[in-house]
Amino acid sequence: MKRWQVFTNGIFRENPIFRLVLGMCPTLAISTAVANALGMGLAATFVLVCSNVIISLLRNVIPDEVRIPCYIVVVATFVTIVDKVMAASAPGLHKVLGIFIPLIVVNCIILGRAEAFASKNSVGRSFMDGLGMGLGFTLGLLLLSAIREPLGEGTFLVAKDFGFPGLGLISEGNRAKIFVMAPGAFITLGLLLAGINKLAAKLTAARAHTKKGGE
Amino acid sequence: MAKIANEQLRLVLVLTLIAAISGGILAIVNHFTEPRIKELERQATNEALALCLPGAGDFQKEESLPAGAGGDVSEVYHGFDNNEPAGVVVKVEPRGYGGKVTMMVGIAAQGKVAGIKVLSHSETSGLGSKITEDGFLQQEAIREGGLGKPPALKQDGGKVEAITNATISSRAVIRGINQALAVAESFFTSTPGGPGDEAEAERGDGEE
Repeated sequence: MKRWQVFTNGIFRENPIFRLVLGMCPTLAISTAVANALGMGLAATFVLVCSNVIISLLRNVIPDEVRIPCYIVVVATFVTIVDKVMAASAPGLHKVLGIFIPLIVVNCIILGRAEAFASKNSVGRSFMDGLGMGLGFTLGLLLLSAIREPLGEGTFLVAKDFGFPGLGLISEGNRAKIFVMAPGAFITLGLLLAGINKLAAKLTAARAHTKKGGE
Repeated sequence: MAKIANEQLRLVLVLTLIAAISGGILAIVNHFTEPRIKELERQATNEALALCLPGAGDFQKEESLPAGAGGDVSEVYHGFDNNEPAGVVVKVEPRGYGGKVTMMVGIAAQGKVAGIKVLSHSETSGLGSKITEDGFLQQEAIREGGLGKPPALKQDGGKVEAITNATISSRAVIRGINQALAVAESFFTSTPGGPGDEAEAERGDGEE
């Protein structure tokens, strides 16, 4: 696989949210607003890229028997850095994301990539993998929140830390609050998963068809 | 034997080294972010205090909670206006429908509720979450509340209009206000010749 393919792999073919269905806890919990999704997505991307690079660098030093504790220490270090920097620079966002920032430590995407990819690949490829997976996660969160925020809150792109009041789309009485609550998260995610699976199946079928026709 | 011991030593050394390096990095990050985080927290607290007790310029935290304070009271601040006591702000955390409702209640020296701010809550979005809105907090029956005039919901024989479908959340806020009033009363009456006398006088022609 070329480096570029390693990168796009995380965005489409193995998108963490829609294809691997990993990291569901933060996905369901924080995709209530686009700003939250972006904050969470970028935080996770930073941790993914950094931990992938460090773990790839150390892959020949870390003994097999203690690799999981070593990975967790590396991941936890970057998560704590993100947590502290976010608390100091964007306190509003930090408060909303709350416990889900420290919980990036146990995000299956990050440990999964460390174990499945970074521990077996070169630094460059691990970097691209981290970036692709991170952006794939971010895009998935953005897609979910871009549906949930307007339907549930009636606004779009509210970002209090940066003084942006957001766009008012739907009037007070017509909002479906359920979309920013837990059931709405499951409904939106379920419909999106179904749609994306259908689309993926169609694409694969079409590709198989053209191959056949070409022969 | 020696080989096994060596291998085990390596496991310990690698993990210890990684932990030590990450500890060092975090200490550096903490050194730069900690003062800023503390400052932001202090600012947020001061803003909330000033909002609850508009007459006061600076605040002093009371170190010990008064005896007999309600179980939900967590912090008490004294407000001063040019070194004159201007009232108290009480932080209370009554239980709502979804969890604790953390709020601050300011009570002016005259014994009246001066301001209420809900800092955080986990009430149902769209129903109980309306406890943070002016439509509920700024209603006459709450603003008129004070020592000797404890606010109460209509359902409980008072005059406060509860939020539709969120009686439990509304009642939590009212309970918080009343616990704050009780704390304020214990302070005001314990200062002889202070504003407590006024409060006592007001109480005479109150409901009691």
